[in-house]
Amino acid sequence: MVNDEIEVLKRALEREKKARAKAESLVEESTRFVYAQNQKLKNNIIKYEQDKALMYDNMHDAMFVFSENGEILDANKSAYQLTGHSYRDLSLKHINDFSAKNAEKVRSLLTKIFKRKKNLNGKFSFISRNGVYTVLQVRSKLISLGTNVALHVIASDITERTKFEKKLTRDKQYLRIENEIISHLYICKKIFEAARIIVNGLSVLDQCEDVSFYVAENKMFRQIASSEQQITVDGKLKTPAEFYLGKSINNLEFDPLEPRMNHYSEYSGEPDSQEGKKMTRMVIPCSTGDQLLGVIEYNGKRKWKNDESHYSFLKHISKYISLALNNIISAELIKKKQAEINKYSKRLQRIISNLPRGIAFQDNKNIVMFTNQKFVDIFRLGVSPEELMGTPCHMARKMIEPFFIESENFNERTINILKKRQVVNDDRLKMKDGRTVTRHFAPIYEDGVYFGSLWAYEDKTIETRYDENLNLVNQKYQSILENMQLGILEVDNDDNIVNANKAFLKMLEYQENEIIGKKANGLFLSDKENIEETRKIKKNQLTSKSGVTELRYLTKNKKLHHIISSSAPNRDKWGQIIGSIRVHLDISHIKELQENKDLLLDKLKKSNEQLSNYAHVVSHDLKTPLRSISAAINWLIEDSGDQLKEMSQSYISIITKSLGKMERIISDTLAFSELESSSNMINKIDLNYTINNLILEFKQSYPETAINVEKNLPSINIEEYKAVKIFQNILENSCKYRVPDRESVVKITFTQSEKFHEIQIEDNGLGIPEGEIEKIFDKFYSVEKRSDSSGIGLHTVKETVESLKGRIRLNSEVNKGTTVIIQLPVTVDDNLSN
Amino acid sequence: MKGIIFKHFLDYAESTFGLDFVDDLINKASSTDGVYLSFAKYPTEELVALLSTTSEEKNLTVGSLLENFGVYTIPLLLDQHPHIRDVYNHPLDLIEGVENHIHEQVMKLYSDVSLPTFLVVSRTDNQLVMEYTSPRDLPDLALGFIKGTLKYFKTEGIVETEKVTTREKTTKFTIKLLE
Repeated sequence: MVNDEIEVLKRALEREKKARAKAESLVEESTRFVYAQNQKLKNNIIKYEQDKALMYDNMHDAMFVFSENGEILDANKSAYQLTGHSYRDLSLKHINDFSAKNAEKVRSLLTKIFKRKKNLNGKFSFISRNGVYTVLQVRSKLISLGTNVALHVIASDITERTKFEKKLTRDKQYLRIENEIISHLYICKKIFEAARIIVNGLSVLDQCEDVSFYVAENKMFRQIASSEQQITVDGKLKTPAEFYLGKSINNLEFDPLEPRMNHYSEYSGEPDSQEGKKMTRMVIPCSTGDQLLGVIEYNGKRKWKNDESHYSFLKHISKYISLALNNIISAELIKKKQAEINKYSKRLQRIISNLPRGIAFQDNKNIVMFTNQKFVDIFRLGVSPEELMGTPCHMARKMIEPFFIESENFNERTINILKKRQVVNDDRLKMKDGRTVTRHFAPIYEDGVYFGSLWAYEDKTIETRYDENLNLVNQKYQSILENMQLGILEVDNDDNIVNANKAFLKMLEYQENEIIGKKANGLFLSDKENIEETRKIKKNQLTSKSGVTELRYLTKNKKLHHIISSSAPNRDKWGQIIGSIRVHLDISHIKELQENKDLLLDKLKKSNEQLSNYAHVVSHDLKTPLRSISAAINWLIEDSGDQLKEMSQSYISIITKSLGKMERIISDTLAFSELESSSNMINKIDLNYTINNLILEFKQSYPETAINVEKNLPSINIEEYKAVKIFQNILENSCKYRVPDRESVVKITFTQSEKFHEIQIEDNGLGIPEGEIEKIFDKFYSVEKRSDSSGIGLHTVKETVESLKGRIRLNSEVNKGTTVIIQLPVTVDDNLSN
Repeated sequence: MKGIIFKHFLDYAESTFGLDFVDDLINKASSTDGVYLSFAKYPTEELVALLSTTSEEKNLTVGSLLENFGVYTIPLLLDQHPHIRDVYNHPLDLIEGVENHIHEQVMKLYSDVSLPTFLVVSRTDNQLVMEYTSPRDLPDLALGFIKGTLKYFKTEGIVETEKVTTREKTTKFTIKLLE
């Protein structure tokens, strides 16, 4: 039993042992698997670590691991290169090893990052120990290092990239500006617009302050656009600048072929601004070939890198701008020329249209290319010139052919002319309606090639008729000339007789063949007087003047004749003097009459003088008995006037009055006879003196009348007695014919004109009725029959004034007064003395 | 010392001296009541206590006891790890591979183990000279393992041992195969 039990236990133990062995082998197996995996991972890690180390060292980017307090836990080769420390020494241990500025920067960054527990990426500029400037793109990552936190930083050097990016940005800007300018310029049509496009386009360049564009006008450059200046309503600059070739633009010497750049300082003008704004100026000429079109002036804040690239950009774009400008200028020029051509073409067309000739132009294909209204009018075609244009010539000929008389063979003649292609002038054609037309033909060649033909038709009906009429008239006058009493002689420039009419031949009793070709002078008496006269004729002939002279000549039969000769130059149709025409009138008969008349006049003069003397004597002689009668009458009145009857007294009064009248008549007659026979002795007298004396006299006889000289009177050439006669008579009339109740005033005024001394005597007397003014100057006329008026006064005045070549007239109104106006001629002497 | 050595020693003692002896031995010398896990570590002194108790009880020297233990255990170990055993078909190759190959495999299982070194001094087809160094200095166990291996491959040979005086805890083994 116990043995059995032991056996059982033994077997159980054996099973347990086996189970244990199995279990252990399982554990072993899994342990081995774990180990294998573990080993693999280990290897991977090792490899990774190795790769990582390699990578960091070979990495171009700098790698740092910073602790919070600025220790540099790790740094790769590039990091050493960046900071300028030796990689071999591994001397980079702390950010304090950086330059002070960098250390400061990094420290503040680390503080920020560790405080916020947030990664910070961005750009960072860094200067190495040896002064190399670098722009870094920094990526950071907080990592845990055991229980500590560290910052893993990768810094990529983006200096070149930044530079490149900047350049790219700038190039993009340039490209945009270029695109903007060029695209606008190529659709622009006017130089002013173009200038504005350039200026506006370039003004967006960074640092730009002002861009201007100058256009070239011969040797002058005128500013036509500026980004700084205001533009007026009509699109122009308010104060455009100008400069000349060879001068400088704002102190920058301008070279028309080379762009220029300079630097200057701009002072604001404020008192405390010591340092000027640093500026750069660029002047870029725009030209194509050797033609300078304009200049771009750029002013901007100085920035060296910018300036250089701006400068090369401006130089670059100026080429395209130049091309565009050239296009615009050419287009403007073409447009201008086109307009000019159009203008001239229109003008030419208008001239042709309005030519007084009918014009038709046919081209080399025999089509009517052009015609005018006159052409249509001449043939009364009833179509407009425009309708006729384009018609083939043979059809046009058919249209006008019926107008010509058949015998003219119009069509045939025309075709002939066209075939010959030679200039034809004045081809005369008769028309059925009686008109005559002439035509001219001219073939037209252009560069030696036949191009077409020009026809010009002219209605010559009037001229033709005129010529015909002229012939008739000519014949008529010819016969008149032949048959009239005037002797006509035609001589050439050498005084040779060319032609003489019948009357002339008759006058001189010659035959035509006896005098033609002979000297005209030979026909006249060659005494001194005649020679003088003929010279005058000759002279007149040469100076193309006409003249009339009196000549004496002998007929063939030696009979003396007097003639008046009128000579006029004879001209050919070009106006050249070819001789003279002399018209002769025989005045021998008149001459005889003249001589008789002269004899008669002499006789008459003598008898007149005698008569005058007689009148003088008689007047004088008559005065003496008159005075005796007058004295006797006075005595009679004194002695026994009161004893006489009233009737007798009135008789005596009549006698007295009549005596007065008588004496006056005698005085006037005496004066009149003196006037007529007066000599020509003339003295200069002062009118002031004469009139003042008269005034003194009148004051006594007419104390109620005031005579005023209103203006200083002249001294004139006149006999004093005539002056006295004139003014005495006039003044006496003024005093005599006063209005009884009115204060009598006489005014004497004077005006001087170039030709006359004009003296006006104005009174406020009775005046003269209108109808009698004309008669007032008649002999023995007086308006009022008065005993104290002989009626001869004003007549004498008029005679006297007229004998002095003066004029007298008067204006008068009844009851208002009379103004006598005397005009005496100004003589040379007067002028000298006045 | 790894538990596996303790376990194999108890197996050896049971098969050689009976279950009663093992039970008695455990009572006398084991601090763990004879529970030894192959993968756990135990103090070397405990193995020494087990060895010396057995040697006293059975009047055997520790040296011969260790040698017998080695000869007894090798076939078991080899059979337990055929992936190692099958690599070799010659006992000297196996012994030569202990240092580089077998120990490596042991290390995979027991990461914290401390192993002796077997430095190959020379090798011919029939002879292998090697030096054994261990801090625990158990050359008799090593001799047992060598003899057991020869036996496992059914080859006969002579193993000479010689203390290396120049280095501490080092023994030189010269294995000569007969034939």
